[in-house]
Amino acid sequence: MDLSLVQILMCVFGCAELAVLIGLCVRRLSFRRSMAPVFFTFALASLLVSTLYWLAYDLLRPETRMPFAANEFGEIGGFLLLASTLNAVFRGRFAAARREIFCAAVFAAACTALWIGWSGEWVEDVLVGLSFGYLLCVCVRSLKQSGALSRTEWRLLGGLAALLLGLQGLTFLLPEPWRSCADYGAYLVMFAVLGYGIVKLLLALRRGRDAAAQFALAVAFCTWTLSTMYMSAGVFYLAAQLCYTCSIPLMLIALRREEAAA
Amino acid sequence: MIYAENILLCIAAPLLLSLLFVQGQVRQYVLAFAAGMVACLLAAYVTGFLQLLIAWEVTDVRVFLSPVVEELIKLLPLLILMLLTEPKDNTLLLLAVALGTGFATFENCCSLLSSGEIGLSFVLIRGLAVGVMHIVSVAALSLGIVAARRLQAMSLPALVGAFSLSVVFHGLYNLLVSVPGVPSYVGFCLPVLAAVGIYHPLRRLHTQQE
Repeated sequence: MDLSLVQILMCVFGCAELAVLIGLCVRRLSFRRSMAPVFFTFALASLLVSTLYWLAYDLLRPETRMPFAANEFGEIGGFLLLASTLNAVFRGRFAAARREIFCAAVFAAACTALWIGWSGEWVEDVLVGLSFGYLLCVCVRSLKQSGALSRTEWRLLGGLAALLLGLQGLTFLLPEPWRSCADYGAYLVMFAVLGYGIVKLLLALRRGRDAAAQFALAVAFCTWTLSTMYMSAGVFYLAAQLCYTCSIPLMLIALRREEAAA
Repeated sequence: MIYAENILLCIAAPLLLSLLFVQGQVRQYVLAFAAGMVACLLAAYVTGFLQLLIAWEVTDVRVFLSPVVEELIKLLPLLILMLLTEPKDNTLLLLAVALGTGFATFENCCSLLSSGEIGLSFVLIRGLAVGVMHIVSVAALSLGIVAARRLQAMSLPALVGAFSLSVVFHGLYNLLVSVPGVPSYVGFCLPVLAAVGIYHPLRRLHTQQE
């Protein structure tokens, strides 16, 4: 089966899901209470328009390459608005998690370098990398502030992120068949974290104790699925895209609980 | 060939004269409307200059470049206003809508005069779609500003996020209407759908302010 067709179908499904979720969010918007739902609605709208742009371009101008990827403006907007949602929920300072934020910034910079290595598009990758890095830093601060991860989990996450970057870096240096080994190793790490992340998030949502921590975990899971999507190809990309599609309603559920708790 | 500056003068002169006879919010609206028309002219200058500089095709300029330039030029007056006078949320929204309306009116006038004889139905569709698109994009931008300034120190990323949203929305509209037939009609419907979506939060903001 043609994977690009599956990808288009998943994008269409993702658009429908985003449109429904935006409709649900808009009905309850209020400018009196926290600004988090407003930013979240805007973030969803940004991601929706970005996907629609990509689909429309693919349909209307399939043979023409974009002079610059205009849909990435939407992704940049989505990341920044999602980070603003977290900022509206967690009003803490970045100094509270200095070490973790430094590691997140290094991870984002390394990811950007890898994207440039794969695509060769400097300006776009740097712009997306900056906004993605900001989201990652805010996400890490929120996780730290809410105490959503234990000390062992932080260490494990840091180790696995370093291992992932090392394996992805090796794919540029090693000859075949070692390159494929490094590549599959990287997929194993990414999907192991994804699997652990979804189990942890679902357990947190089920127990339903700390609403802010649930929201931080939900956004962190979504951010990791995005990172996995950007580092994957073929069937692995589709699997990551499926996880990303699932992460959005989970974020909304967690945000609703956080609103109710506040 | 049309002289956009002449059209601007013809429309702006009576509006500016009317400022002598009106006060309060009407005066603010008329001023912002005129500012929107000037912003449209400035956006045309900047886009034209960049088009000469980077030598893209007209369609590419319309689809990729003009959304960025136009949204940036619409954002600037709002930012200046916000920094200088710190208006209330209601006032900011009113001025944003007036700015978008002025921008769309001037763009429609120039477009209709330059394209010669065209059917009434197309004039109505284009007039409504462009009008709604500019109003929706600038209203979304102003809602973003309203929300962003409540974050205080963290407001810049939120502002850039709202700007990116308006750029990609405008870009999608321009992409769809650049292809004749069904895509252009989908494009014309897009701003109306977005207007329906944004109407509810705007009304709620107004009622909560009152």
